[in-house]
Amino acid sequence: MEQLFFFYFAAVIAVASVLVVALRNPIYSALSLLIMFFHVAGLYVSLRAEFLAAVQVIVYAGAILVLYLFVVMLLNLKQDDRYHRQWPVAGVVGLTLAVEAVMLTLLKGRAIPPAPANTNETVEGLGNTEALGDALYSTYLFPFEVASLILLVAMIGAIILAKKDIGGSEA
Amino acid sequence: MTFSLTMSPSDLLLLLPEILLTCWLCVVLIVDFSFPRLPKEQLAYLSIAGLVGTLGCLAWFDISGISGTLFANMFVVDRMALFFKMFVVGATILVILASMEFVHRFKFFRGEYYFLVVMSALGMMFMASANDLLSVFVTLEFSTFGFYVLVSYLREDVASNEAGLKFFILGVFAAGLLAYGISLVYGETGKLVFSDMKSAQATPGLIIGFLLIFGALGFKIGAVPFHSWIPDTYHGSPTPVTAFLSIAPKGAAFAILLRMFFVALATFKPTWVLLLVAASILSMTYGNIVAIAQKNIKRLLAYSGIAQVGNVLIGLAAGTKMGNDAILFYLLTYLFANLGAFAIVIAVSQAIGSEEIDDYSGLGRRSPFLAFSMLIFLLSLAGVPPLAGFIGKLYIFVAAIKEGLYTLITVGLINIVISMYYYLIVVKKMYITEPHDPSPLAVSGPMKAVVYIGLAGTLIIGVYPQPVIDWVVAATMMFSDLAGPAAALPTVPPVVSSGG
Amino acid sequence: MTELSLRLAVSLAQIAAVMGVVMLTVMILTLAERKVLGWMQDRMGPMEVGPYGILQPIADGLKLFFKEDIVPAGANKFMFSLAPILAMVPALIGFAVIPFGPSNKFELFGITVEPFVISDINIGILYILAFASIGAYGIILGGWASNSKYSLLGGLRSAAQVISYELNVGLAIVGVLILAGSLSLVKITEAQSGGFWHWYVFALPAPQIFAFVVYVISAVAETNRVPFDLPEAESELVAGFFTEYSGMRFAFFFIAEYANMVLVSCVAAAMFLGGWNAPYPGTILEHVGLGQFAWAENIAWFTVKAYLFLFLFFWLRATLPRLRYDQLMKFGWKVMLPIALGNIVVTSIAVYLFPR
Repeated sequence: MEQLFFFYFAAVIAVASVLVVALRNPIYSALSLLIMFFHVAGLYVSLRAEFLAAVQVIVYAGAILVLYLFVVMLLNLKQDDRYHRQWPVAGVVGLTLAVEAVMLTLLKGRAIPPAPANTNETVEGLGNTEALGDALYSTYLFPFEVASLILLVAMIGAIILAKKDIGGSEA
Repeated sequence: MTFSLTMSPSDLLLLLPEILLTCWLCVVLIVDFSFPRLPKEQLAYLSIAGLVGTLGCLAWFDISGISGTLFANMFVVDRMALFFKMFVVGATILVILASMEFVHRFKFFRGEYYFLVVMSALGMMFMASANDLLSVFVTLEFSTFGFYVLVSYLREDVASNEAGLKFFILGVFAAGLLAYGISLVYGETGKLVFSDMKSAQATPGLIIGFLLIFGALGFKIGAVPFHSWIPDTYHGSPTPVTAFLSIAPKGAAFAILLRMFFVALATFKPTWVLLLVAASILSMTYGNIVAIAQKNIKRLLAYSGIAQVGNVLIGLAAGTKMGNDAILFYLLTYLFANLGAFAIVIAVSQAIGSEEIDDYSGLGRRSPFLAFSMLIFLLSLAGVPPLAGFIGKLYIFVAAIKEGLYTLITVGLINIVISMYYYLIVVKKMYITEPHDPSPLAVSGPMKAVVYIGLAGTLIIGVYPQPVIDWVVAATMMFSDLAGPAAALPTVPPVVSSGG
Repeated sequence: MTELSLRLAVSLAQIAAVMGVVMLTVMILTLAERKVLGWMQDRMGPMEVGPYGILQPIADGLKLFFKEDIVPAGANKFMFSLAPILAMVPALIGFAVIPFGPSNKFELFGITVEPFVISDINIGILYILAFASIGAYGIILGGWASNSKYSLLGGLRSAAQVISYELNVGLAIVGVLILAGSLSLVKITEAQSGGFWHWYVFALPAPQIFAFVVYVISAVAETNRVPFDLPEAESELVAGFFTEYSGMRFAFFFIAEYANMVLVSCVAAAMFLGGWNAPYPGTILEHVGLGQFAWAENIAWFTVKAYLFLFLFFWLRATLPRLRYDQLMKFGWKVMLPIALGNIVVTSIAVYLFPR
């Protein structure tokens, strides 16, 4: 059953991702991206990471992609002059990745230690959200805090780059 | 509450320099918008004060031997981290001094400029301490984010915008590579911390993952074939930002490369030596040959930077403790020479408004001080005795000779000759060609300070390198258990040693 | 396998019941709105269809159902059809995690049934927020696909507004989440039992009054209601993003708007006002010895609270003029957001100092 769900989600994610770049109409691309985000969230749910799933939808589908749509609609992109000359490059990269995927799948039989994630019991006992919060604020506190600094820089940077001339008093 | 954070005040001490700087930065920002009438030079001095304080704190750590790890080995403070932190902070101080005049070209947000410069420096300080892939990712992005903005700071200048866009797109691409590589490595090993990966098997996923991570870091240091952003970005950015970009991120990225190659991948040394040899040869040759054709001094220094990174990679390819010492030493000499050269570019550009090599004609008469300093810096970059650059190159080549990397050294030597040519073209312009306009040039105080510091560093390290050598040797003590030259020699593949 | 199908059957029955109630509420609301507005403006409201006009919603529904379905020339037909669905589904799907009554679990053929909540998932409130954020797609795509400038402007305005105020909704409820220590609406509601002084809007150590106000205002804005109805400001944009819609497609948008109102009212009741808990300890029916019917009293309280909010929506519409667009954004980002953030800080400190 779990395998079934995984393959469903994985297949849709793969197809939708290809459609994002293959479709000519940018709005359709954005919608494919939306479908992909939802299926990634589904994958999280099947891994019992409900919190991540919800955050995935809220952040990516609810905020970021809406802004994409904004930009796409306001720019009114032409539908034809996109991506044409990149097919050879895309082919090479895609082929490499495909070979890599095949290699990884074939070599899966070798003894690879499984990822020591939180065992399910601790997650069950603590609840997904609590477990995540606990890891985020203890073990991974350092990257977490650095990420907050990134946001500060990004915020100030966005203002510097995008804000129109301020008043003129700032000489 | 099931809160499992265990941190004591003594743990926090390890983070003291960063915390200090972060708080100071907030003060700078608040002062900036609280006192809009305050001359922005004051902010520069305020930032420098914070950086000097941080530098003092780091020096105290280094002298009193404070070290340790935090957050389950994710954040490490050892002497190498301290070295690179001091490197970055020192570079930042010089860059801020060199920017103080240039900042008047920005129409808006002059105060935030200093904030972003120091913020990027903070990111690079974190990079020097990052000991796991997750921290590598966030710290790398942190320092790069500041640069994205700094590079396109001249908003009404098309070249600056173009530089920013190119840098951003390729930088984001590199971040994608990094994230993908990290996910592969984590998927294969289940580990993030470098020191836990020692026993990892060489699966294809792991190799591809680390190749991708190397690609992303190669982007950061600007090694061929990840260099394509460098010329346009260096050219278009505000010159102080170019100076900053040309030195500080390279130092921080080499800290990560050292940890990655010598801690996580120590067992795969024969493989990555080949990789580094290739990257090194390509970088040196490409950088030096293309530099010859350059008409713009910033582009010339950009290509020379690519070549210099190739030189540093020789040290990494040696794969020994001595090679690592040489990397640290070389980067230090590069810091003084390169920042000094950029300071002169800024000074000349402020005075005559041009960055073309042609306009350097007769600089020797117009400003003997600038011309002479430029001469020293360029000769140091080329590696002429008795300047610091010579000792640096010597150190790196000796480390490589001990490993039998003769092909690499031959290519390196040929490249020194090539680089000599284009550096001397600039010198010839300065001293032999007649000036278009013989009026003397004015140089501001802070700029003079930067040039003097650069000169002092270049000359003193060149004449009396021993204290610095002692320092870098101590800094890389963590690698002292690496196999010595005798033991490492057989592991070097014959492909490398048979050339020449 | 039989267990699975049984569970499926129970869930479907619950879904059908909830959908029925929601649709009924929407029908009532369309009439109630006009009646309340009429009463406030000292007039009668609809009086023609049935006694006192109570059959008006049915007449409206039939009218919309039989109206001609028009797709404007130059419109993207696929998107044009998709948008109303994208607007309506997220509005309805959120009801899955709302607890309408106490969790009187009982066994039915070997499976546990919770009668008054379709699914008690442990991230209930995030689930609602996630789907609420999808609602913007229906609006923005509807606006774009109509190939009309009014629609496009309305859609863009609406999307900007929904995103801005969604943030405030999310931040306003964080205080409650800190107090409750859970994201499940069932657990949050249960934690507020025992009298109105335990409702999170009043509860010590950190009464969420400010958060409640921020939530209510942001919820009004998020549902595009007066005084935040800029996306469909008729004096500027004809009818905003659904200018070009008619018939059933228009009905979908209409239902989505009202279902969203019901949803945010239910969430407000559950998060801040104790959900199905009575404002006094226990229930009256329990005290008089009819404990097995206590759920009816609880559901009644939930209904009262939800309708109170819905009445507030109408009241606002009758009272307040529309905001200007820049005022709306300034208000959201410069007033609501700081208050919500401040509330989080204060609540965190309070909970840290007075752990229960």
